[in-house]
Amino acid sequence: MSRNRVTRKMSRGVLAAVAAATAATLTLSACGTSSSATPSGPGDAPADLVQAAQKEKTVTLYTADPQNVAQAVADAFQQKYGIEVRFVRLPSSQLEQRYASEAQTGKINADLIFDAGVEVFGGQTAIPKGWGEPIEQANLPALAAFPKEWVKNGTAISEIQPWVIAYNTDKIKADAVPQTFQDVVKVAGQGQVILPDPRAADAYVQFWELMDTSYGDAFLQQYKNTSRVYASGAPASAALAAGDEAVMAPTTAAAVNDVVQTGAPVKVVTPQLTSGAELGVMLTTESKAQHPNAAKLLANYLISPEGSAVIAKAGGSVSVYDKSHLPAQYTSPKPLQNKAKVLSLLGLS
Amino acid sequence: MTTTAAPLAPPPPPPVKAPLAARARERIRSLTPFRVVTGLVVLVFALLVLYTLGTVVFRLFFPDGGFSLAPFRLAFTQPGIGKVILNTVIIVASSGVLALVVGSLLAWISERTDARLRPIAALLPVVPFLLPPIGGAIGWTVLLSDNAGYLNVILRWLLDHVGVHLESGPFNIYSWYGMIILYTLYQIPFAFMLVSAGLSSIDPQLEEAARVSGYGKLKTLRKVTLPALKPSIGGAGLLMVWFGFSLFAVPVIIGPRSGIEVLAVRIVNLLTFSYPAQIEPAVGLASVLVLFVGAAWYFQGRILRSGRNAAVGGKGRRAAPQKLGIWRRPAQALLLLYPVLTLVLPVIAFLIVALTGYWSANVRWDNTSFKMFETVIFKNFQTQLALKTSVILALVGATIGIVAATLIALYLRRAGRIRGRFVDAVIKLPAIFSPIVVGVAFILSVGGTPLNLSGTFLILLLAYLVLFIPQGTVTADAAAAQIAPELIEAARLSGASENRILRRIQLPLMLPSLAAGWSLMFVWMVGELNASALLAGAGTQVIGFQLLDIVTSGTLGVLSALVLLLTVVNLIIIGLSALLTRSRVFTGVRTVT
Repeated sequence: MSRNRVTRKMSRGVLAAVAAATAATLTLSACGTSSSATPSGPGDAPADLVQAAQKEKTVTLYTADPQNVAQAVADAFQQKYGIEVRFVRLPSSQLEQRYASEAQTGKINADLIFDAGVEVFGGQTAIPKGWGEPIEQANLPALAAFPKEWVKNGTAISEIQPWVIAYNTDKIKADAVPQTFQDVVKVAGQGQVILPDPRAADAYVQFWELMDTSYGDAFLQQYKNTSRVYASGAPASAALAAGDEAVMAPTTAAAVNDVVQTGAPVKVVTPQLTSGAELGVMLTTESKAQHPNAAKLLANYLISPEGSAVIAKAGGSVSVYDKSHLPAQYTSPKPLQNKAKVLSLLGLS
Repeated sequence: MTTTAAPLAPPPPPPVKAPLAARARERIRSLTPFRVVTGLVVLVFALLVLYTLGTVVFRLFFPDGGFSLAPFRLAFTQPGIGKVILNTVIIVASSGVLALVVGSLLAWISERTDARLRPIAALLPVVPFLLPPIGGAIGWTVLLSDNAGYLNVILRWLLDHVGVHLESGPFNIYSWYGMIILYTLYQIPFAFMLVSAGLSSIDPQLEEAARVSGYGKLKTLRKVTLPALKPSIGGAGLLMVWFGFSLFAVPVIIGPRSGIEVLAVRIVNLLTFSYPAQIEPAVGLASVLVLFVGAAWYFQGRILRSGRNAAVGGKGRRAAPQKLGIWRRPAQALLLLYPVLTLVLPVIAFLIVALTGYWSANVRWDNTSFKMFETVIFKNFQTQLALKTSVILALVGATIGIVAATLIALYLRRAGRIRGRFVDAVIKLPAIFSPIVVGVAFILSVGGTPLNLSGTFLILLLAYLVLFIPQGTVTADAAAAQIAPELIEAARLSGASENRILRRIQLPLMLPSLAAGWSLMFVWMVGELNASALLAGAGTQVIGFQLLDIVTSGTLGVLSALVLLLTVVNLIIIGLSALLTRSRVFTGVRTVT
């Protein structure tokens, strides 16, 4: 297609050069730093990277995390290193569309991207096309202690947002709170369940494929009859808080966290059998990034235990360092197989 | 002078075609600075549209050098696309008819009767857009959602007192009628503006003569006023087709829960639901818009150029307002109802949500605070920056936009038929594309080398101009069309230069409409969501981007505070512009005496 034709013109020989360049900058150990930012734990960046990053002053992050989470990361990073994080926040598909459109013109504004499905976007598109570089080649100190199973296709997944059930406490009595997704259709009245539009993101469809495999077609049909489709986001969480509907599922803790903070009668249950949105980081190729050193420093921070914990705390999500917080039957999202069937069972085209 | 007094003269020589060089010299002589500037503006804008949108369209339809029907094939094999198109046609047609009836009625009350309320008439066309449209749609879900909608809660409480107990309802905004009513509310301004313009240009003596001849009020309306208004009503109807097919904010909020999908939403979903965006079918589906909007544009052009439309002539006239008697108060109430529905009620809903933090059927009045406003205005540094960027962009953009639209409209009235139609088509072309396609087109065409505009203020400004000048030219077309050619001719015969005619006649007569057009462009630019999501850089975030961000992942409390903030900004800027242009700025077009 046309996009491919454009990108064919792009240079493909940058990876080796990037690897060589980055290797040269990342050889010092943390304890030898002379930076103003004192290393405080494993995986902290070497002094020369910190200094080079500080000279760049800012870094641009494209993130799919909610505003409050993105802001928490930006504040913590700035406090630690004195570097301003400018972030652009959008849903994952739009973020990737924006990134790809910029990359096709040869000017990528994002120094790094942090979103759900980044291992697919990075592994199948961005890295093969030379827009992004494999994170293993960036020699990030934090990668040494990073759980290897979460390094996927040149990207590093550091945040897991399990799919949960959110419910209105005025509408659902304490003894009737749904504990599984199957319970949702039992406890809620007809048309009292918010079904965030599954077409809005493949991550939703992946969840419904898991439900189909686990509970069968009849469950999805039953869900269709009980629920009402909402465009996800503020209108859906507001309708739940208002008591316009009783339950919203699937959703993430991060999506309703702000509503809960306002004092709305909303609580969250995490079923044991669930999947989740897994957010990870991909670095823009060094030669194309506007702030390559600050990008590495931020990527290092995002995959470090410290940065991952900041994200998990702000968004109510789970750090990959702390899998004990994952539900017992948590299953990572799998590539889509029956999208049309699942959508059809849910009454959607 | 009579011919009988003239001496016999030899017959005039047959016209001789001037040599090419002479004609070229003549052409150059006729090139006044004004014409050069106008021509340049038209040329630059047409090239901008053709280059940016052409980049995308060409890539899609000529993927490998040869023409491909893939965009159409992909578009029309979309699941359920027939139903989507049918839904759209039903909604646009029914809301269009309703809006035409209500808008015309409001215009008539405002222009021709003693029930007119000058401030209401002045603000009416802009009122629904003071709230960003996505805010207006969400505001109505908070008011009329079947379970927790504030108005429904109040109505149920009232009904309870008369022994009627309802668990939900009585109304539900998530329904066909809810959708059609909201579409109608957003389309009324177009009917109001054009019919007001038409009414103010019809010689009221016609109506007075009818009344003197014994016609009643209704018969005068039916037999005299309405036929004379045909061009205005036709133009308004066609303009509403254009706007209705493109309206996105209402169906994206109301549609999913009510199970009603329309074309504009399907197109945006194709572009945003997954990566890579499905640009081919999205652009293919734009062909449906081309069909309907193209027809609208064609008929609008015919109407405006037919010369049959009522025009502001050189003679002074003054309409004696009809006395409505006992109907005066109800008519005034009807005039007041429109701003109440489109602005006051949603604003009250947002105020309650912002003050209490979240929307609830049981409003917790003991729990009110300004925390949401503090979050939006003081704590969120990005919002402050975004607001500043948006206001500057919209001020600059609306000013350049309305000036360009005026010059384009004047050019079109002077240009030959074929050239005029071609330029008009090019200028209005962006209106049929989703703003997201326009955003992608800008990134691909001017975002990278050699211009490298990606993420800059300039790329946003250019995209806004391309997006909103088509609407601007409609206002300017209408404004230019109602100046009678004999006025210009008289000025020319009196020796006035083109510049002087523009300054002394055309601009003053067009100013009220143009000021209204400026205001509309300003509020549209301030609240633009979709193209901004792709084009705003990390350092040039705009408020539309923030709105979209909050709608997709934020809370209603914060959204309410931001919408209210934006409404206040819109009110201040539009109030100031009304003061600066002094006067009857937003009254559409008035009789010039």
